[in-house]
Amino acid sequence: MEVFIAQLISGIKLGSLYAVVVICYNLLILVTGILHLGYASLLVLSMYAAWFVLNATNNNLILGISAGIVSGIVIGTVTAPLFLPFIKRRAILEALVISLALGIISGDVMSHWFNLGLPIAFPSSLQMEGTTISWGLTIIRMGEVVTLVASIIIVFAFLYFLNRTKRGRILRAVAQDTEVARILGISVTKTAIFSFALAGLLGGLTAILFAMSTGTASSILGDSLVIKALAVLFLASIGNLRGGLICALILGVVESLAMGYLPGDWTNAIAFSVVVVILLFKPEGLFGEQH
Amino acid sequence: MEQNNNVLTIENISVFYGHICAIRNVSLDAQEGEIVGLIGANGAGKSTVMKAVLGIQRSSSGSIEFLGKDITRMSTERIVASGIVYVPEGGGVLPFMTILENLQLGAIHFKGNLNDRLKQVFERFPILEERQHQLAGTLSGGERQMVAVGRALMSAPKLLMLDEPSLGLGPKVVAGVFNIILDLQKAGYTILLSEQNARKTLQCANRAYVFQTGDIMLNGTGRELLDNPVVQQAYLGG
Amino acid sequence: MTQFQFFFLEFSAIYILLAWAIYLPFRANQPYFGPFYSMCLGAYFATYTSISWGWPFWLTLIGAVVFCVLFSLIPAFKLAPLGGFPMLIATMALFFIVQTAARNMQVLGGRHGLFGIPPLPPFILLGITYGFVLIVGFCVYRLDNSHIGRALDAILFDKHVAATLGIDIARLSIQLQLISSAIGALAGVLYANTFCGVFHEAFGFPLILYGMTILIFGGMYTMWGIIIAAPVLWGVTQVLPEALKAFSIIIYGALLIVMLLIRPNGIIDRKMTKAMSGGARALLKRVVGS
Repeated sequence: MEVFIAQLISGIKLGSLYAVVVICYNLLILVTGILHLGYASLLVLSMYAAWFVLNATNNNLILGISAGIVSGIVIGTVTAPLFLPFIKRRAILEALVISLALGIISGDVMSHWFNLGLPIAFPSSLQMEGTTISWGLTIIRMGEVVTLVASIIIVFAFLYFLNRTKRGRILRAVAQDTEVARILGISVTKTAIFSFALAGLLGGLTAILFAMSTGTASSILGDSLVIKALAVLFLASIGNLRGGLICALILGVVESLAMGYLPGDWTNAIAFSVVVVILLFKPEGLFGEQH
Repeated sequence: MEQNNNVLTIENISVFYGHICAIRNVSLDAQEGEIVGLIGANGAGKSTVMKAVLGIQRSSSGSIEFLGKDITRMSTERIVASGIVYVPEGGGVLPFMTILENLQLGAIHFKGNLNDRLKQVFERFPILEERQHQLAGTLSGGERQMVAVGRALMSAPKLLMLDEPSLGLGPKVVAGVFNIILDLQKAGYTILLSEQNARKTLQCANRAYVFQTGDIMLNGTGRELLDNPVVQQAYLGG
Repeated sequence: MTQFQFFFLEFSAIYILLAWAIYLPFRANQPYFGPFYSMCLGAYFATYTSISWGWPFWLTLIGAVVFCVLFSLIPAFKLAPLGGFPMLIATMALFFIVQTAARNMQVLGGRHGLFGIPPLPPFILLGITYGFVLIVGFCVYRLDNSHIGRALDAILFDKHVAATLGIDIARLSIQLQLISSAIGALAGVLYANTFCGVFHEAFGFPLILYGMTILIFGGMYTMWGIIIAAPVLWGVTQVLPEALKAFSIIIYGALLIVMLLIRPNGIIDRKMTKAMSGGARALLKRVVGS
């Protein structure tokens, strides 16, 4: 029974990580209208940046974590201008292709340039291997607990930011109606760049949390993360924040429980199949209205 | 010495949508505390003038001056920050946000105390205070206009541009709208008012301009235009 | 003929076919990634039937095309009226599933791939390949310039207006998807025969990148640019010095992004084809006499 509970907690932790990723996808979609296919790959790239710094500084945790976060912001801000001309023209197809290209490029960078293309591993100090909580027959690593708590905090902090701060209101205004936003004196361009930077920041944070909880990264992680995020997005209907949260948690729990019985690759395939089935029969998703 | 009381001076602007000319060589001005009316048929160019002032449409020639500064090529963001507010047709209220949030969005560039402004707007429109947490999309047309105007006042603007505030509203509400406009003038606001309701506009306005297919046909004081036979024939029902 | 020349000619042709396969639905603003997984399915089908059942080339070709068309038929009906996001994501997800299956199913060779197709003499394979390029090119050309082509333009311009003009978008979309998959399958079979086998890694994300780059580079809305773009882009990566070869995906990605930013309609766009065809017509008149 304790094993099951531990797996459940692990699943919730995984799900909350997925939730943050899905939030970022939704953020970008709502504010800029772009489905950033490559976002999850860029997120994993931040993990690589952190790993690189950790290696270079002899596992200095503070520097490593900062590197992950800062690289996230930088990647987000730097890739934003690539999308701007398409946001203006509402050329969604081209923007999709660009985001796809970015994802593939970063995937390639990760599989060839770092660590000779082998998966990277994070030091156990990051994962807090030393500290554990024992409960009955199972041992829960501190790293997992921190990850769970941190991602929950991030989600709530983001929702608070969105709903109760001036900046968040501006983001929502642009998401709802760019014409009215412009009339109110909001610069849609600056807001778009800000949302990319914000998504980058959240991505960097999530990258660290992923590193903390799973301990490894590879380019395949990027690819599978993309598809899982898309699965959740479509399951919950694009743009639906609350639905996305719930579906992310469900995916995390299901995957965690299923991992005991199926090799990793097949869980991916199942996630994709779910995507296909949902799309074919209910393109608006489980929670959503037509977009 | 001539006192230049002009809040807004527009000189010879033309705006093209592609090859189509929306307004041609339009010049007008507004002095402090005035209500300046823009009347004319639908599509005559009234909205385009306002959008050109706000920077949403670019004029291909001429100049626009606001409080002595040339704003012809300024970004909309900075124009709004310098004190011009535009209330579009229908109000432009964000339906998925509450009344309070809509009002708060009116003060993005406002540097003073937000809560004071909020109190003042609530004093003027008590209904808004009552329903401040209601989603703006659930309001009636007239109530939404109220939110739009309230939002416009949040930044204590130096120039208020109202685009067809009475459009689609019932006669009693329309009368209420024009009363609010006169009230605002008494409170010291300078107002540019674009309307298809010519009679009421000319009754309120100090001065007005008559638009026809992109040109200004006539201008004068409200009284003069009300008495003008051409205006009476075309816009006031003979 | 050297091996380098053979591969260059062969792959240019295969990528032209692949790009045309993507071009057709994209023309109507339908982001359909069917040709990619069809290429994978077609290649595996041809390889497996050739090795395990001893099917001759022509039979594997026909079988692969039929198989892929049937496979694409299932989602086609549902995807047809949708277009846009759902189609892109669904077909990409299918692509992933196919790739995962190819990678994991031992009967299909798993991680090592499947090899052993009896090789065709190079000139014959080239002849068959270019023969198909001509046939498919001709069909695409005819399609482009027929009332169907104009219907596609209308759908691209405005889906709703097109519907009011009486264009049956759903039916057209299904047909496009099936044709697109068929051409993809064809490309896959030719690919398999070039290598005498298949390897799952060949059908990954980079394939999508190559295809999209060729399409966008050559011009998303005309078929001609692809003819130039495919050999050029393929050739460029081949003649790069060894040191830069590792960068090829990054170069492709960067090219794609740059192209979209500066010249989204590709090297050859509609205006150019109109001008060129005007010039060609004038020349023809002069040559043939009025």
